[in-house]
Amino acid sequence: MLCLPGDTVTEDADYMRGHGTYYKSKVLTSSVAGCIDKVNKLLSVRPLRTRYNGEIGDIVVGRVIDVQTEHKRWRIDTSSRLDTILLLSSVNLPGGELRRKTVEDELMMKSFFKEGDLISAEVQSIFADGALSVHTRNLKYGKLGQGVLLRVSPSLVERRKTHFHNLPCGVHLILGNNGYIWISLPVSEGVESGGFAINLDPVPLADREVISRVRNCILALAKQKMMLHSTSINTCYEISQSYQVKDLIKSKIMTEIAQLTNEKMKIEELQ
Amino acid sequence: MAELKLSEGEKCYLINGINDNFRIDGRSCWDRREIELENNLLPSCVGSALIRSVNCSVIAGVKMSLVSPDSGRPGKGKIEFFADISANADPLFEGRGGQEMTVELVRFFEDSFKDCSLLDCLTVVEGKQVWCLSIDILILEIGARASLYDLCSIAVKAALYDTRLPKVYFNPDIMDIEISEDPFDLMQLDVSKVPIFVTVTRIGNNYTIDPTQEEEASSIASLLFSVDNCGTLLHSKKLGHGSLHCYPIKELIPKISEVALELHNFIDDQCKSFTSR
Amino acid sequence: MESRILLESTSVKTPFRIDGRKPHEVRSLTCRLGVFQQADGSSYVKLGNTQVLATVYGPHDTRGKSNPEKSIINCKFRLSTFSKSTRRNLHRDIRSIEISNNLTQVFDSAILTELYPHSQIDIYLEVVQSDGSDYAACINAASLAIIDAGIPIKDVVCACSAGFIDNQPITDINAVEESSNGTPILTIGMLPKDKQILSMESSGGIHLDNLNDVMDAAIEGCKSVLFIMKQTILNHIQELKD
Repeated sequence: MLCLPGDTVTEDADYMRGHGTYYKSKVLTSSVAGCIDKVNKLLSVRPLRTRYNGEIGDIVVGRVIDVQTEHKRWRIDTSSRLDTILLLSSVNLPGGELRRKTVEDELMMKSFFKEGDLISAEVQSIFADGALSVHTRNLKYGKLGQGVLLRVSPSLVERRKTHFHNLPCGVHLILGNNGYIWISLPVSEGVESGGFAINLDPVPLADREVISRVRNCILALAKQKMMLHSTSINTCYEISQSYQVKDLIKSKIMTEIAQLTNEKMKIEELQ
Repeated sequence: MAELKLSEGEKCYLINGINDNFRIDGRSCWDRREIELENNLLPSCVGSALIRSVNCSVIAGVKMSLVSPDSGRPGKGKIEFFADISANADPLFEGRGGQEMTVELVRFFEDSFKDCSLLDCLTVVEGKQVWCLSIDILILEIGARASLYDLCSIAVKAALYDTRLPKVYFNPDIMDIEISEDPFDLMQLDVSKVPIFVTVTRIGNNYTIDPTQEEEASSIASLLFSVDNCGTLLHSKKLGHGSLHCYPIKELIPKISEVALELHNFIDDQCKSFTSR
Repeated sequence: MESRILLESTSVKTPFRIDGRKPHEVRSLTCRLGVFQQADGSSYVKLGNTQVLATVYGPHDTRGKSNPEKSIINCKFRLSTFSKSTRRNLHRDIRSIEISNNLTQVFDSAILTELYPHSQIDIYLEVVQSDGSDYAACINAASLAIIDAGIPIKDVVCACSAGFIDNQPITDINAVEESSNGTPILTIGMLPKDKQILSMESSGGIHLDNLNDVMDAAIEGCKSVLFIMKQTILNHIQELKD
């Protein structure tokens, strides 16, 4: 059900207020243009586009804006309404050690993550003003190496159990809840890098083609406002095989493959 | 737009791709992305055009006025340029934010159009009255700076193609010129010699055209050339902080004429299809 | 110029305006959302020949002082150099600053700023072609851009101008009517559901006896404008249904 700002969502006092709504003299009214979502007794309105609204447990991909040694933290850009914070105490040290941080560690902060670095992290808590605090205290998070970053609207990435995928076509995908998507080569199992060392060996051309094709497919789906998850991306990848990678950036072809993906997924759902 | 900083891994991946002639979006180094062209959208201007590419939008508007020519060039009209970056493109450009970029852009336009044959068409009475075209360029959206120059030049050429100036007649009764009041008595300008800009950006071991913001952030420097439809190089400039070897530049030259000619043809085809509607 | 007839009475009872419209007819309105990809929200509004582009960035972190209780709204209005028949200088004139301030106040009351403390929302308006009712068109464009950005707002803010010529209230003033001497103009920006007025600006003398009629004309104009804006937004978010 669609509604516009100012429209009444419900007059029933039983329901609780979720995102995208506000109380106008005891009547729950929509404050954005979007689709009404009902989860038990919680009513919220989901708009088409929005800045990322982080929640605890979300996986995000972000870029380091600056290093604040005096505050012992990094500021990360995750396309939220306030800059995200990564505290020094929320980071695993190289080698995976867990110990209290010393003064040397503060000075070494730039050697862990510097400006421009991309990281994957999990939202640990939310500060009083709404800024997110993330942590990388798990070996699967940390600095990202060679690959491609995409930025799409956060509303296109559903909250699912896992956001790390190894697609059958041969790429590794991180679908950040904040709409930042990372495409890279598959990470081999059992590699304990601690999340700081990155591999700078040149990537072979065949793998590059796959990564670029996946990138263009995701952009085509995003343009048609379709939800992004491993199934939709896989389906789109298979459909796109009839075109060359560089043709996939033309708007007509993007629309075509996105529509074909939509149809194919509807058929598969019915089966 | 803010200087985009890339991580080491991203830069390494990107540059290796360029060296293999396979960019992140699958294009080769000399492939250009789609450009949409629309003209005659501003009723207050005698000519106008809107150019849209993936992350870049530019509007060019042409206004006319009658002035006396420069004393050293009595038979040539005048063209003035003015460019501005709207805050729509990025909050950084609020107020006078984009002035550095626009001043550079305007200077390059002025230098390229200094001796353009278009100026000869703008004479009304030699030595006394010439047309002065004021071209305003409004940048609404910017991706990479390197592709901005190219798109601005396409917008200007398309706007000039769209320009219709009223015809001017000599009235012997009043011994003075008279501008025709008939709204259909107009003359079109011959824009075949109007230059187009081609920017080539050095990334890794190759030169590329139409870079994305990420590619520009990993680049060494760019070379900007203004070329007319015969392949004559009118003006050139280097953009960016890095240094370039001279031998690869010499190898570039034939490629640049090819790219420029393709662009000239593209604009001609698009604009002709508009007038035939 | 003074003797120009702005309202032509024919044998038919209703007089016609200089562009052929009836007194309470609003010009044709076209709107589009999401015209720019890089901004958080954007819109394009064409009201007659007046064309306005609006972009919204935010909410985002401030690089300077912030308000711990609510979001700071920063609104900037600009007329392009080629927007009118004579070329304009871009140096900000008093009128642009005044309109920027008015717009900031309008959206400061309409947007639910308490939800986003310590942040800032930037709204930029660029008038590409000016043919009267620029301020009203800007309010409409900004409202659509804010909705496109998914920023919570109390209602779809809409605006319309109205004036008074030859004892007749008229809706949606164009440039010719605006520039003629003696035409008073009133622009109203409002929250339609509650009929709350967020902005009321007038220039030129309106006799208090006529003020009610002119206000009614503007509010009726807002209704027509609102209908088209709502249609545009609904078409735009249709994709969500799938």
